[in-house]
Amino acid sequence: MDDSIFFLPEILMVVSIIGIPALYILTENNKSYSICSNISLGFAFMFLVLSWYYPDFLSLDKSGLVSYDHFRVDDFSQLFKIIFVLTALVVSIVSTSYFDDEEPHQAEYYTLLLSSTLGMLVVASATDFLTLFLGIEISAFSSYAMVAFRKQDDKSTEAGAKYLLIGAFSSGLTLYGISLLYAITGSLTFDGVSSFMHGISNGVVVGDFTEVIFISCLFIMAGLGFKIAVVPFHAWAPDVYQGAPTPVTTLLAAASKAMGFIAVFRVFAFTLESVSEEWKLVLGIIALASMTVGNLAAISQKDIGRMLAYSSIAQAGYIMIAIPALTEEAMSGAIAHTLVHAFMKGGAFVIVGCIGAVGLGYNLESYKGLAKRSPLLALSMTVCLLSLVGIPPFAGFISKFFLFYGTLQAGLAGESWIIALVIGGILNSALSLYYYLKVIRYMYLYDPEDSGEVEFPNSVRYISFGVILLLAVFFPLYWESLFELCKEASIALING
Amino acid sequence: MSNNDNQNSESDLLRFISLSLAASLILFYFSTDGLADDFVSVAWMIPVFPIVSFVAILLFGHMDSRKGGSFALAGIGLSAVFSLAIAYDVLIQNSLHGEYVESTRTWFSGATYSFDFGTYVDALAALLLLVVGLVSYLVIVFSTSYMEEEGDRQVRYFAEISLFVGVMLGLVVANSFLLMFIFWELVGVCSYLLIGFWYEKPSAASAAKKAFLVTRVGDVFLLMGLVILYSTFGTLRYSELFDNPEDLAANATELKWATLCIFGGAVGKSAQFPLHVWLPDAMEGPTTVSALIHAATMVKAGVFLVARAYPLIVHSPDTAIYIAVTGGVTAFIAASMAMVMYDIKRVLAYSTISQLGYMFLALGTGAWAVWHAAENGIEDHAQGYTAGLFHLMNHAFFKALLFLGSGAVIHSVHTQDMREMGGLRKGMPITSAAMGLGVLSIAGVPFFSGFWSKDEILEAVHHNSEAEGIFGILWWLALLTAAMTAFYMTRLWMMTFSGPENRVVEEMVESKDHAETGNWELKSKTIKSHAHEAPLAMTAPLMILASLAVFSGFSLFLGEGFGSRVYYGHHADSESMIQWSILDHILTSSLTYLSVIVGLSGVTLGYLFYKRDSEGQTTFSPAFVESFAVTSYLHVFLSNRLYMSKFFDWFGMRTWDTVARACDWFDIYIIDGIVNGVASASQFFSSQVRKLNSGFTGHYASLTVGGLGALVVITRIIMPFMGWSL
Repeated sequence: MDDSIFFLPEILMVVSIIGIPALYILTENNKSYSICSNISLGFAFMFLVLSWYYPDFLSLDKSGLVSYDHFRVDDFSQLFKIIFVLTALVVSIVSTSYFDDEEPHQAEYYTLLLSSTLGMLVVASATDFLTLFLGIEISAFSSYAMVAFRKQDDKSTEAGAKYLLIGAFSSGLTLYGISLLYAITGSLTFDGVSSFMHGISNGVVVGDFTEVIFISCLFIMAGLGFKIAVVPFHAWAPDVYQGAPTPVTTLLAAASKAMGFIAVFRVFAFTLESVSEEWKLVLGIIALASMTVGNLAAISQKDIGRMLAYSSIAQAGYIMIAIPALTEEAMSGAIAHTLVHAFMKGGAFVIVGCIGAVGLGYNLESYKGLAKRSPLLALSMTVCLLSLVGIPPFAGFISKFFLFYGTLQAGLAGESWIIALVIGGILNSALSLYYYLKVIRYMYLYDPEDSGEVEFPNSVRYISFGVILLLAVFFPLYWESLFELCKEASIALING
Repeated sequence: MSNNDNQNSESDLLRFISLSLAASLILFYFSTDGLADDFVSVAWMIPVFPIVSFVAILLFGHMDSRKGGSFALAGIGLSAVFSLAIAYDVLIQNSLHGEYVESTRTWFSGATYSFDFGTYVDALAALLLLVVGLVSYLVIVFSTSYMEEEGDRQVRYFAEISLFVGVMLGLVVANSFLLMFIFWELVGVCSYLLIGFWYEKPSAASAAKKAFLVTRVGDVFLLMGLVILYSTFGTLRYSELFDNPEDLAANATELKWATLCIFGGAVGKSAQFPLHVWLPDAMEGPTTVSALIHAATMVKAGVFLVARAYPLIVHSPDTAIYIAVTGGVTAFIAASMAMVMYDIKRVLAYSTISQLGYMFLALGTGAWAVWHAAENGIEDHAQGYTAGLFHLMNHAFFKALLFLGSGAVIHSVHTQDMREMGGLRKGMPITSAAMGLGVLSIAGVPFFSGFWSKDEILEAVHHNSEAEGIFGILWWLALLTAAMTAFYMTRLWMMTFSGPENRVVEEMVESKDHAETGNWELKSKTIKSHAHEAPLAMTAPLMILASLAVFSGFSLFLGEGFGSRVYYGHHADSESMIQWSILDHILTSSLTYLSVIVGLSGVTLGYLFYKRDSEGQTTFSPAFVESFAVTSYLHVFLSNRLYMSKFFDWFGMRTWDTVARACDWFDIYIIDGIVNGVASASQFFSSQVRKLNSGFTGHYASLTVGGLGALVVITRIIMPFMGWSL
């Protein structure tokens, strides 16, 4: 038994990945699959929260970590695993109300959902490039199929195909970058590569590797940039977010994006930290381009899914500015914003999915008078959007504040060009207010286009209430504990 | 049938009230269980209850049969019970022995400053809790009946009024000037919302705006005062500021400016000259709101602020004298204006301003006495402090009574003009009797509550005049004000309630041939008063307040006496000596007899002038005034409220309006130009950026590769070429 209990979330996923197809042989009842997936995700969530809050309970030494050759359980990984499992749980719950009972292939859907989650869990704990790549691919392949889940829907199929093609292309780039690193370092583990890089900066390793490292950084960034959707690797995101069934979009926007960030953090902030001159600038340019393009493009969108996709691109840009700063404060700000982003973007997409599923549509126009139809959903959407802008006192403000503040400190202490990134971020935040507020205006100031009664599913109500509590009450009140958690995670990340 | 319904809802309401109060008592018992000797530690809950009920009303108010009234009754009822318990503990059990209890938590902290929030309870806070808790609760009970005609809008009313009471209670128990300031501003916001409750009426909307803007002027001063305090002493916590008298004395100049600015805040909030203009207009709100603003919440915040800042003010004699002079002058001016108003609520509004002036006069006098005593090494105590707060309490009771009573009258006759009233005594026996007691009390008729506190104030001012001449003038002003108060309050009661039920009024009507000639003619008609007594939910609070208005003055001698609990500094004599010396002063001093004579003559004149004869006409007619040039000018001058509003308008149009126009031009052409430019540029770029997404997968892949290429070009070619490097 000993330490292998820490595999429990992954084991639960694997068991239900096998279990749901087996269940399919036994029963045709669509409800049973979702229940099965809810239960396993729920248990995984409870386990993770317990192991997080009561380390003694599982004899997990909080200060230390449990490490296998390719797999590590520490503050950083556990924090993100909680987010992944929670997002997957929400997606799983929302999916039951999103899909009709007659929708075919539901067993496959939930299996794919869980295997995608499994991939993310693996990424969170990965300690070498191979495991990282494997985790990303497990998660990615499941999500390709999930995006194209509605075979009869042209948009869904088209999105799936695009996602697959660009995804495969990017994976190739990543793999090429990793192989270049392997070629010069002879190691695939983060520790191994990191010590080689330290060797270069200390002068222990002789030779000029600058160009090779630069090229491999670029290629790895291209591959991971696809996952987190930053400019110029972002082009798939709006099409896919729009075309995919909205619960899947929720998963992509909230969890998959956070997964990409884990990989970026691990690779750049830890492994390649000592040769940072090489990639800092690249990441800085990407960050600035990403937030500007994302916000500008979001302004003229009519489809709310596409608008949120572009907003996601912009948010990824904000988070990216912390990585060149490379300080503990900036990184914990970035981690905090990644977490909070998962909640606010996930919450927004849950509501978008619900509005679409009840037949109101995905257009901005369909949000007219939402406050009259359902004050709760409108309020929840408002909280999510204001949080995305970063209006106090919502959670998004707090995490963004830490992010910018930490980065600014790093900029003031050392490299002044980082300050330009922060200024860019602040100007972009102001710009983004425009399109977020447009939705809020539609919801509150206009009357519904048709006065037909609409029934919203209860699960969405509860989730949106939870989102309000979390973003508007819980995080603002207990932000100090949130920040402590993120700080622990960033210490675990940076110190390895 | 409808009568039956009324009675049902009435008994329902009574049952709800008694149940909620019982529940509050039980909750209180359990929440203080185990800390029986320390009720004060639950003080933080007092403002929380109404604020929670504010949220609850907004969310669920529509489901409530009383449209949110139940939540408000329960929430404010809980606060009232807790407040009264703390007041009992502190003021009667004397559990604090003149000390304070502070409990605090840190909300967030930075490198140089931490924001603490917590409660600070002493005798002053306990007294205010007593007043605010009790009066607010009675007002809410009154409102459930008074506002019934408003229908669904009651939800907004009860939500706003709950928040109003909640933030006022928060202001009272706050433990730092900063937290107090936050609540202070919230009080302003709530008053804005409530005064503008009937926002579709232009007069109400503009009155709300006026109240908000005028009090903002004071708020800016207050904020400046707090900034001075913080930059001088590095803290805004009461305990840290007040516990270092040496430190305070060493920074007398800063303190002078800080306290003057803080008093500026009080001038705005408590409607003192020259910022008194908003209060009479604030009558546009529902009468219950006026009662709350005048008796318990808004305007008392200013008096509370000055009393709270006493440890600072006693180091600055200039501030003390300034406070006293402002108070005395305001008391006199407001009383003079009250004599000529015909709107029943406006009379009460001016009387509030005048009475608040009394309180400030007393507080300023007390602070000066403390400074004087410290300077000359004589034993003296701040009699003005005790007197001012005593008057605050008494005034809260009788003014709430008068406002609620006038509310009942307005509710019944649907007019606010006293000239159209008269003869209501028979129709509304309880209201008229209750208001009569209130009038006697405010007029200072011996042994009613107003008598005691007013005489204590006069006594304190006179005591100071032996050392400083200006207090002699203030004493004369205050004495004259006492006479005028007695006069206009009697006038109010006589015009409203006396006389026959039927009376003849004359009015201008269009004559028959008006269409052709445009003639008007004077026609007299007899109107019969349809006044009827208000329901029990409205009269019960009146009766409770009436008994308080009559008897609250006796708290001066009950037990060890009011002065042995609410005082500033240390008593020179033993505690029980104080109350006897006050009593001795009041009963044996010839000054008291002078003020009694003055008061009674005011009442008599009011009675003689405004007694309505058998036709319903007052003995004293405006024609009498108009026949003398001097009195006629005076009357016009006072009726136009000293032309203060007109002067402000004129002044504003000449000065700020020009500046505002310039700013407006700058805003429209420069700022908006930039903003619009940015907006259209964004739109343009947005449509360009959008084109990046063509929808072709191949393009996306080339974008990726092209992007990589661009990154290489930028970092490896352009940047070295331009000479940029990290």
